[in-house]
Parts: sequence; structure tokens; C-alpha cells
Amino acid sequence: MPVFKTPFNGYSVKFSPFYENRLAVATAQNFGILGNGRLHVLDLSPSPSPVTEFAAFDTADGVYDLAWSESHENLLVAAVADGSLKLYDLSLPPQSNPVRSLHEHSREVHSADWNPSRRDSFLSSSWDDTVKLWTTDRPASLRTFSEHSYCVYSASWNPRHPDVFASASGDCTVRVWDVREHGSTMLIPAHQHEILSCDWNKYDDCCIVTASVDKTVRVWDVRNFRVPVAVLNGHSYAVRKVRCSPHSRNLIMSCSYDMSVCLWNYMIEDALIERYDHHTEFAVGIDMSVLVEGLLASTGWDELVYVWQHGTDPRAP
Amino acid sequence: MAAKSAASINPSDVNLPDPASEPAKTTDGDASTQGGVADDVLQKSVFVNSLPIREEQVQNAVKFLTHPKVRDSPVIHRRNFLERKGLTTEEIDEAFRRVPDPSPVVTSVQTTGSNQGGQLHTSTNILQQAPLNTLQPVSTAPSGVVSTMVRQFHWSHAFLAIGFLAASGAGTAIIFKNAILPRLKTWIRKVAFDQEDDLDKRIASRPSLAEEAAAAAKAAAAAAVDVAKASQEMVINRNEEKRDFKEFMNLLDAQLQEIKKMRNDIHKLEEQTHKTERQPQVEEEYLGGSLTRSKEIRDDRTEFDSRPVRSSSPAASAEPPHPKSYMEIMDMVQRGEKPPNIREINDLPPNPSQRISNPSLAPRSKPWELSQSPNTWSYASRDSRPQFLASGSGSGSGSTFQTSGVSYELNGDSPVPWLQQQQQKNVRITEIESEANGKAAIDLPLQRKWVPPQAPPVSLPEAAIAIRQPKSSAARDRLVDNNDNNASTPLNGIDDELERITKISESGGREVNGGGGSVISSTSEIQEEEQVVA
Repeated sequence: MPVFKTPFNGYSVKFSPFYENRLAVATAQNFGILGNGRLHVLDLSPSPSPVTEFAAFDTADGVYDLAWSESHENLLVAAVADGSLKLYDLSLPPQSNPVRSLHEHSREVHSADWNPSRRDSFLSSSWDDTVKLWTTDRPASLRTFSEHSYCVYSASWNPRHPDVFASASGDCTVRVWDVREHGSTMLIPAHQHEILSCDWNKYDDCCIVTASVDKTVRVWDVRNFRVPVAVLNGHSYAVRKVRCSPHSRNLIMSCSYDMSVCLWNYMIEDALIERYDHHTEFAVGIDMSVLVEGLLASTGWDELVYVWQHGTDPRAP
Repeated sequence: MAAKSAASINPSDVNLPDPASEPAKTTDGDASTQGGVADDVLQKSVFVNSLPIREEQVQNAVKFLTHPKVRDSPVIHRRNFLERKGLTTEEIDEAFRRVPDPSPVVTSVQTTGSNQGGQLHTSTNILQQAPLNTLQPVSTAPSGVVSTMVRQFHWSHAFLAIGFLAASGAGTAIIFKNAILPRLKTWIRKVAFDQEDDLDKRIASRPSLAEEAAAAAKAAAAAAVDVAKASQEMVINRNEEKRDFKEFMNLLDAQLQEIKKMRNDIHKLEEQTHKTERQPQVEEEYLGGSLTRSKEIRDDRTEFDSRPVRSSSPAASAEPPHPKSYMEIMDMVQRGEKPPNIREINDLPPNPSQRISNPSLAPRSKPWELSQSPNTWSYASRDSRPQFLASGSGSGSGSTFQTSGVSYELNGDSPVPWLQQQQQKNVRITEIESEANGKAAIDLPLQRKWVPPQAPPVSLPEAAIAIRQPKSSAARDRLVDNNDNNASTPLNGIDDELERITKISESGGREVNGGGGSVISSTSEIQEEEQVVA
């Protein structure tokens, strides 16, 4: 199985929506506390070596997240800890990169998400309690959404409604927004502790999944948001990230500070269907490939990136 | 189910009522009446809190908001607290509306009133003023009698409490005045009397004044000596205590030093073990990095003072074991030192107006976009595992769990022929959709590319006609009653159109020649018209 060693601690990994064998990794030095950052673009190949680095970009501050463009196969955006978003064009030589630096947030940018329906806009969520909407052709943000009272850790577009997205915050609420509306349209007090990640179900447009410091992953139906559809217990520490499968309606992937990556099927009685303990530090970034069914990737503070097929051992050579 | 929900939700194009939200609308009809006309438009979308306002939650929120301590906190924290308790935005707004807008005079007066409970007169005056002030704005609020009663009740509570405190304070003062002071006075008088008695006796026994004066002086001197002795003893005791304390402190310091030494030793031991574990690259970077510049420490001090506080917050409730080097770096940063391996990097764009290159690949459609109809699409899998994964183990394919979507595989070529394959096979999916996905990605910003698929094909044409007919037949009957011939022909025309629409939807758009796309796009308009007519 392909394994890549990054010089800095891993923070996020995402597959390219255009190339089946390409992925990018966001890393930050010194665990992201204080230091530089680096964005790696990796290519998977059968031989000679399973993983090769296609490009790497250094940043002054740690890179906490990244997002691939849905309309441009060589464009990606990095969420940097100094509050800026950097756009990189892989078709240009490295010395011409980054092509844009969008600096409006006053605190660290924790996550970035590209709109999969409209394909021209993306969201950034920051520790300054706001979410901002951007397009690649404008130097300034289109909208700023500020209703949360604490850090916004994640924002995720609804895959079936091009103007709807959800944000998860440290103020223990999930808010659903519509870009055409002035404020948030829905408020879900999903957990009693900070909510670190949220993601929409790709096959059920009213289903949203949240991950929290309270060690649970909860599945919600926005039409009946007082009671969760499912509460998934199994992690022994805070759940850092959660992703819904692009191929299966009921499959959820999560990673946690307990160093494990778990796969769940929330419609069955015993929801935990797979558990991977390949990381030796906090598992912080995960992704499920849209183009290749069952292809999973994860990264963590142990400076390793694993890519493996569902059902196989990530550490197998 | 999936098709129905997908077909129904297209808010900005056609303002059709959402079947998914209709159950919500019918069960929560109160919300629409309470919320007003504007909210009806919002309720068409599913992503809205469409529950009615719960009065008891609002009252609890009002009680919370009128608490004097809460009034000091910023508004956003109050809102967040109520949000976390599960109140909807409407309930929170209603509660904020009911709580009177605190003017600066009233808040300061209230805080002083609650703090200075001991001064009876001033506090009662203030409290009498405050309820009057609060009652006036409350009476203008549109809330019912209940809230005012609640308010008065609450104020009388506070009034009683402060009155009780004041009374107890006054009582202790009175007790002090009445009981203790007299005792003191009597005691002093007693002492004085005793002394006077002694003097009288002495006067009676020894008439000479000088002797008396001498005796008195002696007594005074003795008393003074006693006092001096006592005070000296006290001073000595205090000094002894001080010395003892100092010794104690020294001992503690010594112990602290020892513990610190032990900790350093442990750290060194850990570092040694760590260094043997770490990768060579990292070690080189760490040891061989250039030393920090003092300027940067000063500049960054404010920055990294705030961040460590935030960075540990995600793991606040149950602390997972952090890696040891993480703790070292946190200590370093909190002490104000900068880790030595940080480089100065200029990551600004070299040319901020650099033209972004044009994309050469078409965006690929997502598996969930293709599988909107409940049919499962299975492709002949030539190679169930991606080619770039080493051909080591055998059956690790994605067929182990059920999917309703598509199973993709690499065919090694560029993605474009892949897309063409899909277009050939997906005839049922509207041509518009596949065209939209196949087009080049560069469009005007925010232009809609996702077009909803047409309504699912009708399995029973008779049922469809029957569903549509009763309305048109009723309308026809009505109009025939009014106008005999004139109205019937246009209605017949509409009927014919309805039948044609049914046939078109049945066939999935294949039967209509030539303008297949245009007819499909016009069906939505015709459906709109049909609704207007029916």
C-alpha cells in the first residue's frame, strides 16, 4: 500500500476530482502550533515507487486544509494558519506559485470546501468565527457569514443543493445556510461539546453527519433535527473529521485523536464495520475517493499519508 | 424516493411546494400563522426550522435573560447559551423582544442595588425606582399579562431577598448596639469603679495625698510594665513565628528545587530515548536549524500567545495523550521561545495578477448525480482494482459492500472517453443533464449547470390520466354549464396536451422527434400552466 512520509505533521488529505491517482496533503510544522507549512501533491503509480511527489509548496505558516477545484484540474486552494487562502496552479512552474493569496480572515483558516455543483466557488471557515464565500476570479470574498460565537471548524456544501451549506463550530451548533438568504436558515444544537467536522450525505440531501469532541459521530435529518438519526460510539477520544461516502448511502468514515480511522454503516445495528489503527499519532485528515470506489486515504500527526483500498490493510507492503 | 425528492427541490427556478416539507407544513401549521406571510415563502425550502414557538421555552429564556448576572454578559454569549439549550432562532428572538432593552441607567442602578444589600434605605429607594422603570417599558410590550406578572413576581422576590439581608444587617447592628456595647461600658465602668473604690479605701486609711499619688503612680507603672512585657512577649512570639515560617519556606524551596532537578533529569532521559526513535531527517532539521532571531520572538509573541490557547481547545473535555514533543513545543512557545526549525518563507504570490491557466479537462459527473433514478447501474468490471495499487493481494475490491451507485475503475486512458461511455449508456437520464456535465467548465460565475431531471416515467398511464382528469372534467363541467361551446374547445386542447405530456414522460423523451430537448424543457412550463389551470 502506498505510504508517503511528510516532513511536517499531516493535517488534511484530499483526492483530486479529476485524476484517480492524484491527491494532495496539507501539512504544518511543529504540530501546527507555530511553524511553516507545506502542501504536497502526490501521484500514485504502480511502479517503481508507489508514491511520487508531483509538487510541493512551502508556506510561511501551517496549512490546515486544502480543496481541489471542481472546474480546473490544476487548481487547488490551501487554508493557511495565518488567515490567508493560497491558490496554486499546477500547470505553472513552481516559481510562479502561488497565483493568489486571499487574506481576509483575522484568525487561522481551519477548513476549505469547493462547491461540487456550481464548481466555481468555495468556502473557508476560520477561527475568527466566520465563514467566507469566494470565487477564483475575484480578489475579495463574495459573502461573509458570521453568526457563530466561536471558531468555525468546518463548512461543507450540500451536494444536491448548490446554494446550501452547513457549518460546524466550537460553539456546539451546526448551522445550515443558504447563500441566497441573509442569515442562517437552520440551527442544530447537535452536541454538548465542540463540533469539529460536518459533512452531508451525498445520497440523502437532508442528512448531515457531525463529529464532536464528545467522541461521538451523529447522523441528523434536518427535517427533524431535535433527535439524531443515529449516534455512533466507538472512538475513545475526540473525533476530528467525518466524511460521507461518495459511493454508498450509509457509509461514513471518521478519524479521531485515538489514532484510529473508522468506517461506519449507520443503518445497521452494529454500526462500526471497520477500524484501522495504522497511525501512531492523532489521525487528523481523511478522504474517500470520488473516482475510485473504496479508495481511502488518511494522514496524521505521525507525518505519514496512507492510501489503501477498503478492506485491505493500509500497512501491507 | 430519491428521484422524487430530487425532482421536487429546485427552489430558485420553480417555486413548487416541496413534497418533503409538506408533512412538516401540515403538522406545524401554527408556525405559519404565527410567523406571518414572509415565513411561508421560507417554508418551501426544507432547510428551515419550521417548528412552532414553544411558550414555556420562551419564558425560561426570558427568566434567564433578566437575571442580573446574565445582563452583564455580551449578547452573543447569551444567544449561544440559548441555542445550545435547543431553542430555535424564532424562540430566541421572541425572548429577546420580551426582555426590555436595558438602558445604561437602569443596569447600573440594578447592579449597585444587588451589590450593596446592606444599606437599607438607599437600596429600597433604588429598588422602588427600578421596578417602576422596568414596568413602564414592559407595559408597552405586546406580551400578555403573564409576563408582567412574572416580572413583578420576580422583582418582589429580589425585593424580599434584599430586604431580608438589610434586616439582618440592621439586626446585627442593633444587637451590637444594645447588647455588646453596654457590656463593654459596664465592664469599663466596673474596672473604673473598682479602682475608685480602692482609692477611696486608701484615702480613708491614709489621708496624705502624696502617698496616694505615689501609690497611684506605682500602680500605673506596674500596669505599664505589664503591658510592655506583654507586648514584648507578643513581638518575640511573632519573630519566632516569622523565623519558623522562613525555615518552612526554605524547606519548601529546597524540595521544589529537587523536584525540578528530577523533572529535568526525566526530560533528558526522555529526549535521549526520543532521539534514538526519531527519523534521521527530522533530527537533522531540529539540531542543525539556524538559531532564532530575537526580533521574531518579540513580533510573534502576541500571535503565539493566543494560538496555543485555541489549539488545545478541541481536546478540552477529555484530554487525549499528546505526543511528548508536542508538549515540549507548547512549553517552549508558552515560555516565549521559538522552536529552532522554523524558516523565513515568503509565500506571497510573485505575480498577484498572474493569469490562471485554462482547464483542459471537463469536470466529471459525481456518482450521486448519476444515480438519481433508483436503477442500479453496473458496469462490466474489467479490472476491479485500480491499476496503480500494487497487484499484491487478491480480492480487495469495492464489491464487498452494497452500493446503489456506480462502480468505477481505471481504464488507463484519459477521462474523456470515459465520459462518452457514460453518455451512451445513460439514455434515461435527461440529455440536458449529460450535456451540461460534458460542457467546458468555464461558465459565467454562479450560472446554474445542474438541471433537475424530468419527472420519473409513469408506469400506469391510465392512472396518470385519471389523476389529471377529475380536475379538468370538473372544470369542463363548470364551464360547460356557463358557456356551452366557447369554453369547451380550449379545454379539449388542454386535455390533449395533458395526454401528450403523459405520453412524453412515459417514453422518456425518445418518441418525440427532433425537438426532444425543447419539449422536455417545456414540460416543466406546461406543468406550471397545468397547475394554474387546475
